[in-house]
Amino acid sequence: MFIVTALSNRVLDIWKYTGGLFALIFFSISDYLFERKGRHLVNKIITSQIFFTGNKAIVIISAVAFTLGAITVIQLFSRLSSVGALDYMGAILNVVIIRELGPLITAFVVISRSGSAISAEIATMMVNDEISAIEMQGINTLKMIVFPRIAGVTISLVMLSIYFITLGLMGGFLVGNLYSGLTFATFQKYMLNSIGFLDIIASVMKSAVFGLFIAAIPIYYGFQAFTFTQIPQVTTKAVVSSIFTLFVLDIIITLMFSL
Amino acid sequence: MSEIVLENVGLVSNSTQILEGINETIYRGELYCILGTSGSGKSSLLKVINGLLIEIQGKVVVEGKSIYKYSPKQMLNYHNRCGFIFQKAALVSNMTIFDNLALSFRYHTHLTKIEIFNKVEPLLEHFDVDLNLLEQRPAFLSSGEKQTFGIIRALLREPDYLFWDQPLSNLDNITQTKVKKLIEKAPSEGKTTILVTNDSKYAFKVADRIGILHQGRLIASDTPKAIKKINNSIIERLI
Repeated sequence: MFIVTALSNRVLDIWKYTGGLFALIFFSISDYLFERKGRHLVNKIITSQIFFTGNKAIVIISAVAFTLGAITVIQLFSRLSSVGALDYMGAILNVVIIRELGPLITAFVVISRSGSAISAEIATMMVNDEISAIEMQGINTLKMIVFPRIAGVTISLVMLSIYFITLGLMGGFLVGNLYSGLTFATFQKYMLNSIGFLDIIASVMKSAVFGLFIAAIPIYYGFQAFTFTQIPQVTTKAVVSSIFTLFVLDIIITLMFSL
Repeated sequence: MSEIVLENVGLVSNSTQILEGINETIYRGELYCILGTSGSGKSSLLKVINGLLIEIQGKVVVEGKSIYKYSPKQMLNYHNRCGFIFQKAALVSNMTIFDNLALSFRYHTHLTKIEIFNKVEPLLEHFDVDLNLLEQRPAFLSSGEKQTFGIIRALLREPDYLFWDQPLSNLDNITQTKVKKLIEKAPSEGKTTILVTNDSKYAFKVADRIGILHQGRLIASDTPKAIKKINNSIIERLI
């Protein structure tokens, strides 16, 4: 009986969490789109959020993208050329860098740098009554606090993903050229020409969906803090939950584009 | 004409009954003081009246309508007519002081920085504020300075309802005098004012009526003269 109660409570908790998350995303977007008041102020905050998220991640993204691209291209070029299977290089590169690692690693970096910061920031604002103070001025906090962070992180993540992919491919070509004699003509023939429109769409869509959730999850947990001791707790939960959700979303979107 | 009506208001938080069975009417233009021991629920009651705490029992009726039945837009409009002075200022920490003061103008209007400053200036002069502080973040200010700016922020938009949550703590005597002037002036401007304070002497001096909270219950509510005549050990110890 205890197990049944515990399980049903768990199911209810997951239901409440999922519903709360979707409500947060849906109503913050709809309030921004359908209420004009304060939009000029919100747009400024979105811009600063894009800068905040992108700026913090750009250095590490650059390093990881270049390195990963180089390793992938060198490995693929040397292995596949030895078995005369360079034709497959483009397809593998698409999957590895463009469709999978680009959005995923970018999302991991953003979670660790911005996700935790957003959660801690919102939690601190809750504990200090700053959210209430903003509400008491007749300001829609979904529009003013939630939406700019969701929009800022999503836009940043898409841009950072595209940057990651570009730098990854460039890095791969540069290192491949230096150490394996990979020419640009070969690179273009076997890699660049294999990249299809659907690959780009899949990558951008993954980044956008990742961005929505890895912004919304820290915000959701941030709003659950009411005492100072809860701030590190909700921040940890936000990061762990974001990482788990990332993999779930990755599987779902990968399956969608594979059908 | 009644302004704010509390009908059997209660509040439970973390399985603890914070407020219970509160029935009261606060009239338009009245200065109503709430006294009580620490932990009696004074600040919680103020937040309940403002619609800041959602899971309440009973009703809070403002101008004939229960505020907890408001749509989100109606609740925003209600909040727009309220000025809330928080116990610990509650300035937004990642904004400068000026940005904190200007926030509601920037959200609701398209006033320029200079126009906003012109609106803020009279209150800054009233409190004799160092203008250099306007470009600082709240973390670099003393508690008293933060409290002063929290009060200015609430008063800027000339709200119809004023809610003061222990505004005089952390303030020096000179600033306290200035704040008291504003508290006492508000009813004459038709503003409904609810003041939570631990300063019972001041409450008895200025209040039209006083409510006494003890362990979440409103144990007395009347004019200062009538309260003094009540034969109750808790009230006697409090005043």
